[in-house]
Amino acid sequence: MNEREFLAGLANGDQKALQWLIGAYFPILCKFAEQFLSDSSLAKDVVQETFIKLWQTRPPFHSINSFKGYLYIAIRNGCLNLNRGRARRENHHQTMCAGEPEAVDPLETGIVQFEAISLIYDIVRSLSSDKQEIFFMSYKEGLSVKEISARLNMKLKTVKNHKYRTLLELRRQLGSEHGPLLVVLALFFNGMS
Amino acid sequence: MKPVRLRAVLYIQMETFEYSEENDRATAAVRIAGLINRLRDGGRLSEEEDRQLDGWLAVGDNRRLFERLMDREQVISDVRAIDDYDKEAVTEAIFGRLGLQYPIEVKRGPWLKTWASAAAVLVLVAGAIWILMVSRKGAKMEVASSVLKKDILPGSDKATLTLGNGSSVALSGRRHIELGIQGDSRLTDQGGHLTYEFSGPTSATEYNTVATAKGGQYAVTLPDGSRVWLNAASSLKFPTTFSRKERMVQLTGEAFFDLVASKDHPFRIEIAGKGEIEVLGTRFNVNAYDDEPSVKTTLVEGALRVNALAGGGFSRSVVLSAGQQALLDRGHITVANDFNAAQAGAWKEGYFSFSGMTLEEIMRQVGRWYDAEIVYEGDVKNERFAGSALRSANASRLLEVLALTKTVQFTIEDKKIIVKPYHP
Repeated sequence: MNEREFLAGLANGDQKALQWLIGAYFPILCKFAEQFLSDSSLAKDVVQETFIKLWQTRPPFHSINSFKGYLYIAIRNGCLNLNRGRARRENHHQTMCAGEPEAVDPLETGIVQFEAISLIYDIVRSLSSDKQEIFFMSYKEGLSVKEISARLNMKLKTVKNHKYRTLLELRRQLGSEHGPLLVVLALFFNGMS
Repeated sequence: MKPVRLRAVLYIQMETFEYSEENDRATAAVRIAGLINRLRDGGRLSEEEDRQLDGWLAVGDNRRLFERLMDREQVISDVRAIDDYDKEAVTEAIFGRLGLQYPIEVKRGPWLKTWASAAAVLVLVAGAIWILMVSRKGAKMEVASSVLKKDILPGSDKATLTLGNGSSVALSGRRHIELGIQGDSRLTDQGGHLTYEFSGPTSATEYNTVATAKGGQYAVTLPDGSRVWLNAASSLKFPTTFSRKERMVQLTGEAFFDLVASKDHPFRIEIAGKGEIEVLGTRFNVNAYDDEPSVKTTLVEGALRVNALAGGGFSRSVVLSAGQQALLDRGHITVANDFNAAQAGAWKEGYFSFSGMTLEEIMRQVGRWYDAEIVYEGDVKNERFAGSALRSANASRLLEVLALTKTVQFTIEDKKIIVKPYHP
């Protein structure tokens, strides 16, 4: 399942979409949550609860990017709420207020940081551990993901990504006010693949 | 207004995002990450993307982060640092909490050996027997979601454009198409949105019509920059150039208007045989389907006037303010206050939104969007429901949700939806 299929699956309540999301994103989002919560098992809980809430509500998403943005915000909020609750209980109000001065928003930096490795993670997680090592070596050498796939004789998402890119391009041209139609478009593209 | 009693209330809480600034920033950050991914992998950026990335790089410590993320060795060690986790256990926990079955039953392909299919048949038979036994015992069964084996696909961006000379063009909502000059305007069709742009004065004014069938929707930017979203089974007729005095269009069906304000050029929407709406510049929804009992005008923002037509002249007129809805029915107008105006435009945001609507009203919308015939067997039309559902999902999704209230059940036969009272 790629990202487009995921979005359509989410809209239609396809359980495979949830399964895909957990496989591709759960550990990455846990790492992201750990930026806001020092306790890694609590971070895991927040991500799990966010997934449950997401599936229960399944709000409409205009695009995969806005879906991901939503997910990161929801997890950040979950972490902050937890912190707030604990701070209240432990009476440590100051810890919350002593934020950094007007710096770059940790939300955005976190998103860029974890999104930028998510693609590689998604590829690697599907490989056996020896193939993972080949992948890492070739990637370090400077081969492109496509070249490595050829070398490993893998059918890889990059090919499918071509259509995904067409979709991204479409969205860029359409501007934001036609976002909702994109889910429909995504379904259409799915039909072609 | 009489208080509405809801017998069957189901509210699916939707975290509708109002596009807060934070959502925009988060989405932009995801996009930046995508650009970095592409650059690192030897891809190229367009000029526009280059500009976006440069903008991001200029902020705070972003450049350092960028260099880190472009470093493949660093990426590899980041990926390695992602904790191994028990995927099965996590998935099982989440599915369990949601009451979903895990592992998901997978449909087998043709490679399945015969003994396996025989085993499957056995399981099916056993299951059927089990179900029979359970139902004999009189235990309640959740049948709602298993009833709809057939499904109907949602509507999409499609419409027909009729030009001044009577010729027509099918709009498919897909690619960028230049449709040439009409009167004073240049026409482009792109991704479900038709745009008229002033191209230079000519003397000829032509009338164009954009019409959607059942299961279609389209958006139009008029020559003055005003935007109109056309729902299924609707049409909008307008001149390719508006006159100096006023902007006049004709509507059938339903449309959401986001009009450019122009004090000296009032905007008039004619609804044949029923009345007209007179506007200065605002956002509102008009539902004027012939099979609806009244013309519903719902004002989100600004002010407008509804004029009722009866006996060859305007019989009554009412000025609406934001959050009000006017019901125009055979020359009479009634006004409902404190209307959830955002709900009136929900369809153009991609979802159905019902608050205390009768099943009959809901099913009229369903019929138009899914291009389905609605057939009632039994007395359920007046049950009321509240809730929301995605328009991009198949029909079954909405119907199953409605069925969960145990007041109504549905069967789909081709393009027909049969509606019955709920029978356990």
